[in-house]
Amino acid sequence: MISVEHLAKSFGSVHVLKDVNAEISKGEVISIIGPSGTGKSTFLRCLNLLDQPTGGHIVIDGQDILARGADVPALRRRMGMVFQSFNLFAHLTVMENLTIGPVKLLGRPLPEAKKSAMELLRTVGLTEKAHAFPDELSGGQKQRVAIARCLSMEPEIILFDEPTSALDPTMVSEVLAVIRKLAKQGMTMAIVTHEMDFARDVSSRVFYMDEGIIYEEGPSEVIFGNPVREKTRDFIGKVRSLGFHIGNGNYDLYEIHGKIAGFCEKHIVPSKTTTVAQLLTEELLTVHVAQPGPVDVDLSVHYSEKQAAVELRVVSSGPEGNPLITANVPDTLGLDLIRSFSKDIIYTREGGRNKLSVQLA
Amino acid sequence: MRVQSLGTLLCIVGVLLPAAHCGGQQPAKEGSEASPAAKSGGGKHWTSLSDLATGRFAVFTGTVHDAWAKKHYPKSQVTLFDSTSSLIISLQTGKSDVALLDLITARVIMKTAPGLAILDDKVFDMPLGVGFRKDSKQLRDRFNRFLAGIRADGTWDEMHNRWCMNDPERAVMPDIKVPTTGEEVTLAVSVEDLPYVAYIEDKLVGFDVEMLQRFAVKEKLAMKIVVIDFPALVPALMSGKCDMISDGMAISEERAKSIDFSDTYMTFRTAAVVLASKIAPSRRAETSGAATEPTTFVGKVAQSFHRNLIVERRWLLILRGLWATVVMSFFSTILGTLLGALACAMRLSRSRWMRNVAAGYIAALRGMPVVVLLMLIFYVAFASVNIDPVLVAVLAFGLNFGAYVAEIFRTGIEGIDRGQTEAGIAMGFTKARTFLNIILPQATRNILPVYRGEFISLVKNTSIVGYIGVEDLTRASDIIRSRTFDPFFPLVMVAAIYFFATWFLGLALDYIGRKTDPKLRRKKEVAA
Repeated sequence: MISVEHLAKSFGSVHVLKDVNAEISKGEVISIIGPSGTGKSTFLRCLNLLDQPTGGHIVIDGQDILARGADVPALRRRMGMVFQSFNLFAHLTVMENLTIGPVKLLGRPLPEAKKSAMELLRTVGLTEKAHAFPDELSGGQKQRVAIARCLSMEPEIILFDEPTSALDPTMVSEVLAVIRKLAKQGMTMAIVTHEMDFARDVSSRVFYMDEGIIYEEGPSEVIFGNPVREKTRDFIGKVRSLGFHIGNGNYDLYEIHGKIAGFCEKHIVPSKTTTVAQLLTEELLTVHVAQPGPVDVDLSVHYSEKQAAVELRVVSSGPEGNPLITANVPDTLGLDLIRSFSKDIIYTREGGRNKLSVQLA
Repeated sequence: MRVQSLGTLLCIVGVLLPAAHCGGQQPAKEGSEASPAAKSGGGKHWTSLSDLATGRFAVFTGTVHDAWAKKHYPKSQVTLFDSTSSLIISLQTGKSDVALLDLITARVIMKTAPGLAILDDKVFDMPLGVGFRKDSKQLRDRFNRFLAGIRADGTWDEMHNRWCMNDPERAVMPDIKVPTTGEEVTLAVSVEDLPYVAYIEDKLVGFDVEMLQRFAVKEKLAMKIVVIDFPALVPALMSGKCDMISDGMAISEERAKSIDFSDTYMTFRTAAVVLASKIAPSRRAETSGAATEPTTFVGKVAQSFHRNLIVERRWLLILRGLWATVVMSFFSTILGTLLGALACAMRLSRSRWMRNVAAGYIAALRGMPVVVLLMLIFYVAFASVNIDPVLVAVLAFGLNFGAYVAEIFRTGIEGIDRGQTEAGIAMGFTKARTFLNIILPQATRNILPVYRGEFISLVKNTSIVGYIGVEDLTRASDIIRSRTFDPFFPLVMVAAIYFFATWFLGLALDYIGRKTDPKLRRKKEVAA
């Protein structure tokens, strides 16, 4: 139904979307997840051209909507959009919000439009609010009206742009319930959301977006159960991290220790684990700085909320080879310490750099 | 708006109360030498103009009196006024000590304005002439031949007797049929007072009017008469707004540099007018009679009403002035609103030069007093075009209103959340339809209260159109004051008319406001 190829979007010099490729078929429910600022909303807004893409193609039912002369308003009538901030028409009643589109855009007679509007209000449980104005509704009610307004246009797909982010926690579930109901009825939907449990339950496919692309995509069980790529894993495991760059041998170890202590305190890491993290950081840095060639080391501390586990990652330039094996140190005490305090050590060569992942015991 | 109107009203009352208090309308009683006014003046009576060497002179703007007073009494303080009535009122309210006036005019005024006396009836003499543009020598020569003709055949003597020797107020203006077709000429007058030009029974009369109408008949000229403030007469002539100017205008060297004068048609004698109480009874050449004033308040109001509105059918002037004010306000509002919408659209457009043009227009128009804009358009932009001054007023006020309205519209539209536009567009409305169906109804509600205030300022601002010769409500009251010398009644009446006019017009805008209030609309719908 929708096919996106090499989609790019920049705001000035900021490249939000770099190269997005995706297919959405009829009946699918796609959740789009990922850290803030990675272009999830922009991607959605490019699909109905609220934001004009700066490159690539969007083909809907065989028609390239970025081609000259494409009837964009007609296209938008087939795609509903639900906004984070509801955007109900403030000067119209709930009923008028639901009839303005069908009457003015689809040419339906008013009585017929009113009748189907009442039906839709029943679906979202708001028949008694038909004559209310948007400012007289709660956030959850507003968002349900907004969904009904989308449905009034009988769209082929609905784009949800963080539909629950502006809501009180108490009102999130009433909106999600309506979306779940639509999913059951087979409505095609693309949902940008931070509600992970909801995304796992409702979606047939998940897009994990990061670095301006769809970093990983797959069925809901795979992305949430066993993601392949590291950033996806970090995100799903709610991993928090802290990084340092070491550019020469004279680094300030006490400053690094202080920052690690602060990071661990913030995430309520046991003090014993904190001490180990500091100790291993010191030893890992000693080993890496002693490597031949210029010093270029990136060390990061990761804490997974889900698994309550700490991991140290060290990425360094230099000749290929596990630094722990090729280590150029006078004694092996440091290496022994590293091995004894870690549960698992994984060496990989990524992008021309050596990478060590050290899982703390 | 209410605050504004109240402020305006308070200002007017503030100006007028002292005037009323000083007894501007009180007849001076015989033997009032011992009055407090005289005492505060040093207790000494004036006997000649030389007693006033350091006094306060009231003179007419742009007349020879101004130059004369400054030359002969360099230590005096000279205040300029734009109309005879202001001059007399300043004298009556003690703001000036002596007024320099044409002797015949002074005599006419003394009949209606009580408490005055002529201190000196031959201050100096000046010849009067009709003004012509320097490039219309032919018209001037024709007038000079005509003037010589009427002097020779006795018509001039007849006219002089009618307007200057006998009581000009009783003079009956002969009915002269000015041709309606033929060579078109425009005469500008400023309606200062008899014997030269005055409005009586809603008709222009006086020596100058009769003389020039006779000239028009003799030379078969389709002559139109326009009314312009006295100080603006020479500029109007020079810029081609009229072909002849005449209103007891002295032939001065200063003026002769800019325009040409006809031969002298009359000699004008200057008199010095002061409050009767300031000079010794024996020295009073002439004093105004003590008018019979009613004593009750109602009686006074009734008399004022009669004198200012009924006599000489002066209410017609007010009615015509009100009509001019309403017409100007209405069309300026329409023009300004359209211009404002256009400028606002340009200001919000994507094209940089459109934005700059609109921003330039708004900045220029908001940074300029309307009266200056008005005169720029009339005397500069349309200098050589024969254009109806009402049209010029609509253009000037429309341009000015548009600049303010553009900014009001812009803030109103920008005040609407961007999400409203996005929701409309996402639903499938085009940009234009989103604006019409979603943004405009909401913006209107934001805009109306400010727009209403701006509109009311516009109505009041039109009171300056006298500068280009439109007889609006304010100008009508000026003309009435120039005949009755009653400062209170015409001004308060005009203030009240402005207040009620803006109030009713404001109600119309309130009605639109209620129409666009969605919640009131729902009430109706639910009730129905």
